[in-house]
Amino acid sequence: MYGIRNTVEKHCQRIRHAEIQEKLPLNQEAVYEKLTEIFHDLFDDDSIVVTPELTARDVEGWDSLAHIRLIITIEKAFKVKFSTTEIAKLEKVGDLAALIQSRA
Amino acid sequence: MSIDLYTELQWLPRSPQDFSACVKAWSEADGGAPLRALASYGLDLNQLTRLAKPITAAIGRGADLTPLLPFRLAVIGNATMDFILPALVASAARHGIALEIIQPAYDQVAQEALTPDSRVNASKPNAVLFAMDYRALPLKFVPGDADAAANAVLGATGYLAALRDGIQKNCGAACIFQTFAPAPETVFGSLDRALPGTMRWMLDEVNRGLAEQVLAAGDVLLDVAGLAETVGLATWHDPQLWNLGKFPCAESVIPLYADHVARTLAAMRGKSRKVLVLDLDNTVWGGVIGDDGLEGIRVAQGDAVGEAHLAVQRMALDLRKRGIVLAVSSKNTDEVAREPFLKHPEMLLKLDHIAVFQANWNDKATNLQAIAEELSVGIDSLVFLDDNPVERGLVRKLLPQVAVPELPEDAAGYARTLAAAGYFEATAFAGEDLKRADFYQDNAKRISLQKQVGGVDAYLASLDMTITFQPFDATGRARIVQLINKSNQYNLTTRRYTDPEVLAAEEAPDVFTLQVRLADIFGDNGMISVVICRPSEQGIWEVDTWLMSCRVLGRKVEHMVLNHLVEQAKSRGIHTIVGRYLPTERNKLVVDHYAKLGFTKIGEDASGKTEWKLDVAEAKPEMAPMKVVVLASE
Repeated sequence: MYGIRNTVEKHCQRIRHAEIQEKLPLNQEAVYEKLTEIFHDLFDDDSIVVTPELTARDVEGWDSLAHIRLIITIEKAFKVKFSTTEIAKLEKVGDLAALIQSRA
Repeated sequence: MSIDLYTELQWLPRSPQDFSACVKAWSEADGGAPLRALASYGLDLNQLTRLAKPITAAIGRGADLTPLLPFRLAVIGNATMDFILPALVASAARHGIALEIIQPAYDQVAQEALTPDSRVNASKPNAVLFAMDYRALPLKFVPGDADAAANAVLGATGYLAALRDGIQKNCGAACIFQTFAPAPETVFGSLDRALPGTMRWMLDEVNRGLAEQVLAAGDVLLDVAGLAETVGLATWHDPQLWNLGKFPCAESVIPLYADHVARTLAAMRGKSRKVLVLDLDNTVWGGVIGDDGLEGIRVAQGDAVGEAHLAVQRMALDLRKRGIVLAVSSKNTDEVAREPFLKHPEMLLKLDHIAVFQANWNDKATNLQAIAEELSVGIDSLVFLDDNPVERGLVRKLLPQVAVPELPEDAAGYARTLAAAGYFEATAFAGEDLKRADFYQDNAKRISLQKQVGGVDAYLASLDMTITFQPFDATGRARIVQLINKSNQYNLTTRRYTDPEVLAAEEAPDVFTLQVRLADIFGDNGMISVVICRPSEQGIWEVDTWLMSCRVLGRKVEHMVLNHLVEQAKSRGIHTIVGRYLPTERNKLVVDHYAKLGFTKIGEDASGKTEWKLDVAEAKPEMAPMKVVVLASE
């Protein structure tokens, strides 16, 4: 019995710990660093400089399908979920970063 | 167990950090084998997409990707296939296929099948995959209207049959049909399953009709409905993705779906596996037969651990019933390994079920090659099930053609993981399949192994082992006592000591005691060896106890222990080490222990007891690739 209660308690502690960690605010620099990594990997181009003003027109291969893959990858990487309306509204990387920061 | 087993393809090893760099480093001159190796990790959609790029480019150039087999697949769907197609190409490489994909325009199902000079028909594919989801079917919600519902179902299956006939007539390709995963949303609730005219009722009927149609026509079925049920309909269907881009399923399930398509194509090419090779200790039963004995191993109903292992046995038996050949590869003395099969009342597997039984102390790669030779099948026909990550790693490294599933910590997940990997995918079942296992059985005979395959040292080095030597201490005592009283196989003298006796040895200044730990890339194995030396005469040590856990057999731990013994002996003015082998029923494994370590035999009696000696000054212990840490007692 004690064994089970201990295990449950430890598990709860772990969850609480994880929640606290996840609620730490992400700074802008960290967001852009991670975004840069994602862009380089997804578009297979290490020369892309990820700035707030970057848009789909500036990146080869960033079409509507790649956009969805990008969103899904970002959602997984930052452990966030965007609504359909939010996805539709995104126009440049600055919008994305702001959305991530507001959520994470 | 969770759906992660499926969505993350957890039977495959995790991908390396530098996966992208490895893909980039591939060039055409390397051929298809490295592509297959890269595809054989548990890849996510982005990684699959990345790997597909060079493959598709190479196929487009007409490059030779041997040993991958070329396959042209036309994919006809009613939704956006763009995410799925690269995943199919990369997953096909995992199953030994260089996949070229013919993709017609979006949502042109009927046109492509029925028009003789359509893109699909003109390209003469090897097979056509009808990758449609339920939205492609002419089904309308008619609750309670049995006639209309039955007509709708006939209309849908008739439509699918017409597509098939079109392809047959126009290009003759094999047809692969998918069953249809219903949406998770119901209108009535549970009644949807029972009431004619609901989507769920109609899709049940269509799936059943389609399955019969496919079987009768000799087409191939891909049970997407079953797959979606396995991970959950709510996981499978992502309404946001459908709305955004008409994606037929969630992104998270694409790697799983793609692997299922790929294993189906491999099955059509006859590349499914034929033999299941089972490890015994902690795989077929819980525990170690050589140490725990017949009464100690766990394989009984009513014991949770025992039932987990029985589930593995049950699955092996079911596979055998459909024609999969069973073999055993175990690090054990042969008669010890056979004992449970012969004497344990709860064992489901019997010796009669095993075509080749390899119980010896060779490395498993050598044994697997022997099994393949004995059965006259290719090494790529084998699946190897083993709980030990080191054995799995060794086999993957030395025999990459063998399928080796990763297994979860808990044996409760073994059977499910093996099934999820789908090594034995079949597109048809014939009467002769039933007899195949017996056929091998009749021809099988036990083989003895002499030759060893090379490359083991390189593998050992890659394990990044750290061996730690320390005299007995209070922290280690409980485990020391346990090892002394439990170890049977790698135990030279089988002397059992109680806690106070071990403490006495620990405290005696002239007794040399040693506890040995081993860590490797897979984790910490904990304490794996114990040695006690007592002074007999001036300058002479007698090895009172030398034992080791069989889990680290073949890692040259005993050589490293000897090296440490020699160093310690020198520093204490010991010139000779004397060792004894006291035979028991269980310790045949170590009959040559001292001979292998360079000792000279100085005595032997009728009971098989032998005595050995080593001149410390002249000893040259073999060194193994591992880091050595020497700790003082606490």
